[in-house]
Amino acid sequence: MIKTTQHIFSREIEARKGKHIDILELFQQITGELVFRIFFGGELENITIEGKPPSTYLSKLIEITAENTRAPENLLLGLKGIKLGLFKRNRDCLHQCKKFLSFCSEMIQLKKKKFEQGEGLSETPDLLTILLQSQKQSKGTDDEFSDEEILHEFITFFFGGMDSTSHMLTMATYFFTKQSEEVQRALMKEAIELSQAGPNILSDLLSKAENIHAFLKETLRVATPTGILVARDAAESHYIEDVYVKKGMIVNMAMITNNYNPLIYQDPYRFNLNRWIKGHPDFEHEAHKNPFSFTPFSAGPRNCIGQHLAIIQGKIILSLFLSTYNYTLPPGYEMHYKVELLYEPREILYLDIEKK
Amino acid sequence: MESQSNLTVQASWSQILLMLLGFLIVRVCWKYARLWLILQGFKKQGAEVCFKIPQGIYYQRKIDTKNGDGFKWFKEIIQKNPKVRFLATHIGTTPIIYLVDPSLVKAFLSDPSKYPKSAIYEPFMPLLRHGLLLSHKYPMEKTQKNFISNLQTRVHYFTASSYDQDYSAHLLQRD
Repeated sequence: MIKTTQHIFSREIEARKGKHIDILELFQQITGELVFRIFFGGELENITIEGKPPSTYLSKLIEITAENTRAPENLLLGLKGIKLGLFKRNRDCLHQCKKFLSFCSEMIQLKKKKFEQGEGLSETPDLLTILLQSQKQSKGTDDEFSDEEILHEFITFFFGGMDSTSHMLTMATYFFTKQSEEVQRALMKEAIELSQAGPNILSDLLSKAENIHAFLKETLRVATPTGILVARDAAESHYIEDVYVKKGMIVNMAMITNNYNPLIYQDPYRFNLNRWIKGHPDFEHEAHKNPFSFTPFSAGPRNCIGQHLAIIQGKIILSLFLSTYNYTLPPGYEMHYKVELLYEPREILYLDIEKK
Repeated sequence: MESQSNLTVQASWSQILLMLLGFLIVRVCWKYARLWLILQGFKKQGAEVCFKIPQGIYYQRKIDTKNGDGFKWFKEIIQKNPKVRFLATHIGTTPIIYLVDPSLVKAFLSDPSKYPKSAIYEPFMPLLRHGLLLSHKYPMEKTQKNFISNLQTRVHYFTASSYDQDYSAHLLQRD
């Protein structure tokens, strides 16, 4: 993870000479390549779809698909309305979707071929190998995995592992510049310790990075990538406690609202990482009382499967970035937010980055 | 005589069209009136309400994004009423509730079987239909079963499993 991150940072930052780098896109490339390697055991370097790195392509595809979910043709007719291709957004969505599906299918077929020939099997198989093994084992049973199921799982993990982590890192990069010198020094000290450990990084060192951990948690509170969940339809009429939910109604939860609850967080609009540091006077006891009041990764049986990986990735990537590079925001830049599928900067955050 | 009969036909077509239009307007008005009544009912149960014809919360988010923060309403509402239990609004004429009170959130998240992912995500289906994020009940259980059965026989899952020894245990506890 560390070597790959360092390599991508230097490759991309040097290629663009450090000027005006879209930081979200850079983090998407890093998390995309990491996820691809971890889950699918492959390299993404030099692979493009219509001239774009697959992570960037997927991110744009998600954005345009999210736009289509809000479109009247979808609200009235569902997928059939999109498939009519009446508007450019429909046609772009269908085209990009087809391209991306074909790219992923190719990747899977290549892996499948290797798998059938017994190549690349190890004691620590990647996720795609596990899926292919499952498919083989479950053949002929009720639980058989189809090729389409593997394809959709592949895309789910690619998207889930890439997009939310890169959004969290983008927000963290912005909030770092808004911290006092004292806070910045404390964060930098831990970042240097982590990055100096290099590939020998150990779990206790990661756990010791208390300030970085708190900083990421506060980032997830103030500008959580998933401010609301993926909405759900009530399959039957029922009560949630005393609230009557009629069949067909949409039910969701507003994590972002709880994150700004003044009864839980003192001065909720203020970014204060000390809320999460035990023993600090600003430590928020209320926030720790109920596990359902702060849920950036959701909770319950369908919580985020990649939450631990996201935090580990976040700590490592942020540490490497802060300890290796100096960066500046565009003059006068203040973050405005928009809600696509995720909560993100309304205006692209371009950074000028140079090596220390 | 002939021109008189043509006139009659023309008049009745336009009447039919007018009637259809009238019927459509009444139907739409009725749908929004019913929606308003539902939202008022939620208000009595401790909800904060956002009612904006025609798009509802999408329209609110559009305005809020222009004003600098797409979640402005979601954040401000709890400053005014920190004890708000849930938010009630709509997408078109479909009511939507956003749970806030942790006890409601707990009840909602504890039983996902009642809640398939919303039909508004139809455009994502060609990409993600069978994946863990959007699948429901059986396909999801099958996926988890397949992962977990394999996990039990593997030492490593992600590189993370070597870092966090509880990670596999955490996954196995799911559902």
